[in-house]
Amino acid sequence: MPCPPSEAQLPLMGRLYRNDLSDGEIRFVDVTVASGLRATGYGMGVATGDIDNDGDVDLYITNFGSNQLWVNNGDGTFSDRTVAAGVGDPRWSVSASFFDYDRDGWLDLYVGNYLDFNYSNQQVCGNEERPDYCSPLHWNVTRDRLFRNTGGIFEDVTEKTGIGNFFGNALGVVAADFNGDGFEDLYVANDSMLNLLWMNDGEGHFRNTALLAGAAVNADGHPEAGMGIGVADHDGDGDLDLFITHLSRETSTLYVNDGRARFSDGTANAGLAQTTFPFTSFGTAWLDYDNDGWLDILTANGGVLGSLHPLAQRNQLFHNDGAGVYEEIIPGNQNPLAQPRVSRGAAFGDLDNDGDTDVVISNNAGPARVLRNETGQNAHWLGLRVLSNGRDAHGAVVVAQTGNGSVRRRVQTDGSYASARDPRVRFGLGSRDTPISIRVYWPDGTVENWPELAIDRYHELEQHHGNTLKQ
Amino acid sequence: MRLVSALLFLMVAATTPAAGTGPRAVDLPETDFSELKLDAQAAQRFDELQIEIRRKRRIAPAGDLAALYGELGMLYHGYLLFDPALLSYENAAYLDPSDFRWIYLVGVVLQHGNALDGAETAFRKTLELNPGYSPALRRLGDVTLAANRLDEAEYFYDAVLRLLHHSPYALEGLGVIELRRKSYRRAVQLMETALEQAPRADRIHYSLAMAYRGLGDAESAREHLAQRGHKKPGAHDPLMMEVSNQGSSAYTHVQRGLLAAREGDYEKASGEFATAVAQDPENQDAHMALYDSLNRLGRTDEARAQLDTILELFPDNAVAHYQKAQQLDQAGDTERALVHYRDAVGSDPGYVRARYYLANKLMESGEFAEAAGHYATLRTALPDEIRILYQLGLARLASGDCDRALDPLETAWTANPRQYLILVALVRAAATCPAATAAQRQQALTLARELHGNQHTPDTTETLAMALAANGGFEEAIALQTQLVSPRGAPHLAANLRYFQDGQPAPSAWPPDSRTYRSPPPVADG
Repeated sequence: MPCPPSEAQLPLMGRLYRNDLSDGEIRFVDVTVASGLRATGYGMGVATGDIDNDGDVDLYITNFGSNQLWVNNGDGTFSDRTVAAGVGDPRWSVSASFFDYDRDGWLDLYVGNYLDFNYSNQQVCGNEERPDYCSPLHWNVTRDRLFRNTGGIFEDVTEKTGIGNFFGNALGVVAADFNGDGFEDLYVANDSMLNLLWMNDGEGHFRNTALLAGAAVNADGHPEAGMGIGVADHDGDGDLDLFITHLSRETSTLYVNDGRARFSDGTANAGLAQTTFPFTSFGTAWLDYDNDGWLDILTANGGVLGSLHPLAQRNQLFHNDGAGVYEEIIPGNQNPLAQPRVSRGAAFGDLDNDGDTDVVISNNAGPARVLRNETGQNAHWLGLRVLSNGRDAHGAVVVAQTGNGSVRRRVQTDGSYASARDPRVRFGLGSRDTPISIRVYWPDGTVENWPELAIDRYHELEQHHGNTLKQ
Repeated sequence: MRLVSALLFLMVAATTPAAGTGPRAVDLPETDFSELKLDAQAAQRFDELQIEIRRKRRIAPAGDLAALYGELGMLYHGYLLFDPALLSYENAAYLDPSDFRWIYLVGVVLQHGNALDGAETAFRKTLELNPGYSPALRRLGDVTLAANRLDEAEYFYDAVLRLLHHSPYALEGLGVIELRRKSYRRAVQLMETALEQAPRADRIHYSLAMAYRGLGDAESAREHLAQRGHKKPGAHDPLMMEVSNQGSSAYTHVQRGLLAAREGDYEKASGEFATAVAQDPENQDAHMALYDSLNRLGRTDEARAQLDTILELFPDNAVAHYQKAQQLDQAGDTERALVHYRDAVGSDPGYVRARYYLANKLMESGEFAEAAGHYATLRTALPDEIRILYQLGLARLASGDCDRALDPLETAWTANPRQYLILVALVRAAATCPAATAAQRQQALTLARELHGNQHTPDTTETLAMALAANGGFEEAIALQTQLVSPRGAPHLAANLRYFQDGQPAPSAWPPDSRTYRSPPPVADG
């Protein structure tokens, strides 16, 4: 049984915890009250980005009900700018993404909406003795929303851009340039419906190409219960691949990009079919947990259906062998990954600044868990905060020359499930202990490089401060 | 692997046959079959087999006992009881390792549970015992393909093709292998041939589309994408046919149907549900599932007929009444839809969705007082639902119960002060209801001014005029209302103007036939 909330926590609302890292020890302090944040909606997820280019991170909270935009005042407090900014979408939203689709230097916002559910159209499935949740297909879906940032105020461009032409019951959302044309596209994981791949034509329009692109359904042609999304160049071939989590008995699915935003289902090839088949997975990301230079996968698992089946499941960590094949690392009993829980969101970042990726996992009916990575610090690494216009350069691609050849990582805060992540990028270097050259492909199309950066530490790379390679 | 839910296992006395080597035969659980609703014949067969096994376990030759276990396993398997089926088959295979059937069925159950390594071992053993057994070859193709061992999978599907010329299943498997190898032309050839052999196997279309895409033929790819589905090519598997014939209770067919539906194969699902209905016409779950699957298949006439059958057999089935009401509603038959909505609520007073639609339909039909009663009941069940509060307020306004409209509208507004529609309704209610206090009227005026300041529309203008009149500001109200009156405008605009000119507030928030009452816009969508 979950503990009842303490009086101090009432009324129930989203909480803001500040990481007061001290001597390498992570210490979170609840600063909700002092911050002025009043996230009293029925919270679902968060997206982060600097919407006003003032150098601090703003917060968008998705709700079952109207969403909220909290603008960071830069002094530890936030102001509710939902109405003024025009982004209080009243639908049931889960995941959202800040990205700059028109390359005007302002972060735009995509909001994934789930179902047209409310208390007056609720349904119960199963039978009288064993009531259960219904499939999402019992409800109508609602349209996602695309908001264009016009300088801190947003314009709803859903219809104008073509985004309103197709829709599903979105749970996962990620922005990335899938065809390498320099413009951020969108991928939306829908729950038991066709996923959407919105290709950005660079002229303000999007076109859903998911089905022909091979990214709408799995290899058998089946739509799956899309939840969380990982996006990264998992095979090191220079393009962005997708990893989508699903219900048990569906497998999570790896969509491998051929560089032209044409995907093939590589799940079996990567050894991910059997290992993911028994689990219902939500939050996920590619992360190089052991800093060996190859991206591994973590999934936050927990069931949803079937009152007799245990909902609690262990989380999973898959190690990439360097040839694109993943093997599950079965944790010992004491390892927190082994503890069965009903996990949902997973946020990834280096919480203790030791150069590896830690994870915060939210759990249903239980406290969130902070999983501190004690493995990656044993290898060499390089960490970068990549800034443009004074803010994290969402969508910038960073390429490092490492022992594994050219390795590319993206600056992003979106993906996973209903979660936002650390925008800093990290390169695992294994045993390599010499400086690394870095090239940054900025969202505006320019390219710069920074030669010979010292390893085992973080650097801040600001646009226009490197050696220009392409203007 | 997990047993089908809700089965109670009670271990019975140990059964330890002496014969054989390797892992010993294990005890079988005794199963509570009450939930399966077995027909008498099947229940008797289960009992007989278990009794016979107990009786013979120490005296019968191993082969005889193996056959009994095998038969019991098939019975369990037929009823989708996978755990005891597996134990039974394993016992049979242990007792008679020379009979390929039992080890093959071990593999089938393991494959169902995605235990592919174990399944592969079992199918390979099957082939050692029966080298030409095509179902084992085909399944080895499947499990090696699942493991992405393409050369081995090709070997097995080729072997199937040598035995069963033109097997669409094997052709599809080979096509998928070529697709993964990026040999698109060959993949297209193989899958086109598979489709020729099994035109209804629409699962093939997706892989075929991907192969055409690989060839750069986007048009053919799109053509096949449009035809994609879930139906697999048929496969020759006599033992599994036998297993399927074992499980013949309505419950089993419903379960099989649900499994098929989950895979999107509604064709197969509807067949299973229809069989269940035929076997047990009293089974409401089967009837409803059949209706649902027919609907999803787009077989609307059959679905409609099935729904009528359900209503005939189960006149108290609230869900069926609700579905019927929806059907009639969509066809524009409001009168009959109302009858079924009422029946749905009558059969299940806690059926919130049906009551909500009933109330909406009553509003549409102008039966405002009855609608208000239903919204009030819904408010008790869902006190925080703003939509209900708003519509209750409107229903009371429309039915002339203006004074009691204020409370739900105020509650809705407090919960969501930025919602335009609620704001307008609240202002108009406060401006027209005699029971509104002076403070409420004053607050209405403040809100109306704010609203009108933000947005100049005929709606906000009239709302402000009403609020002004309610507070004695007739001069300004007349000026605003005059802007709205035109020769072709709604008559109530001129009527309200006359009231203001006579120094009286507007008599009602909206005229009785207003669309706002009959078809209120959804507040959730702002």
